[in-house]
Amino acid sequence: MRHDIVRIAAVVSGLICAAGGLALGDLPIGRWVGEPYTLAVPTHITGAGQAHSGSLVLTLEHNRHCTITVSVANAGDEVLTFAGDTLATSYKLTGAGLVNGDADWVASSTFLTRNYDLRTVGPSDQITIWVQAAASSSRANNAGTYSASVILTASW
Amino acid sequence: MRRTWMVLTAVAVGLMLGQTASAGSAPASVSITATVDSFAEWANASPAIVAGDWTGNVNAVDQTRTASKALSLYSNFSITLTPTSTGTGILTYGTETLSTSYKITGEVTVPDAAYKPAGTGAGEFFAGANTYTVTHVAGDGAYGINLLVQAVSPNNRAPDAGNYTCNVTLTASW
Repeated sequence: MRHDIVRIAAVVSGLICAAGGLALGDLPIGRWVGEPYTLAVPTHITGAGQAHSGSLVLTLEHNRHCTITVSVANAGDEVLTFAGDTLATSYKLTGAGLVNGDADWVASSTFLTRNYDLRTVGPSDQITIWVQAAASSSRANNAGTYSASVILTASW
Repeated sequence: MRRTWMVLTAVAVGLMLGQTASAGSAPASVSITATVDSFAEWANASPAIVAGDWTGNVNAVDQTRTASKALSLYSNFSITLTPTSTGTGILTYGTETLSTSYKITGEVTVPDAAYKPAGTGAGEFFAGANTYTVTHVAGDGAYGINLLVQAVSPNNRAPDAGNYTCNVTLTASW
């Protein structure tokens, strides 16, 4: 009986170790390094009709093919807004691993419908998010700091 | 004993399968900012009042003709408009002149009710004290300003025939 207990214990340990080894080597993982992110368009708008852009490189660690979707916490969050005034807001998502990265600016409303395929298995990929802020060409937008936010979700 | 082995094996296999088949997701929030500075600019920085803008050519003595130019000012703060001229602001052809006066109307705080003579004296259009205020309303940012010009021919003779010219600069300052 005592021998049986020792044998069972040894086998259980072996199985747990095997499972653990498999888990470490093969467990699907994905995480954005350094999130949450902040992106400030570096050039200020100083005249009607001006458009300026900025970008930020995001690092995604993962070991499976991923799909990246775009969402917002609250309706309209994707549009740069200040005190009831808005700037025309466009986005791009690019990256070497993206099968369908954007070549051109995508309107903010369309950006929320995009699904991006990441066909690499990591261990890390760099994804660049670009944003363009365009002032009205027929009036002066309110002076101030406009803000927006989007959520990028990598799923596997 | 045999049963114990089977249970342990099933648990381990289940654990492995569960781990390799699991799906998941990772969200990342991106906060974005862009800044609009205070600015003011004219939609058309070099407008012109041409012959066709006048109510007609001068073709008689003591005749009054007028013209108006609608201007759009884009501004996101309150500004002061000051009229100046690189010359006299008087319609001139050679050595001949027409009596010239101006009005500013539109979205200024106190639009002119009457024409003011071109000149820099008290009460005249180019006097230093003759300024106009445009008060910004948040969310507006576009203001219509009208520059009106009046030309009057002499009442005792016919002025020389030709195109009379002058210039006015409206400067928005803050």
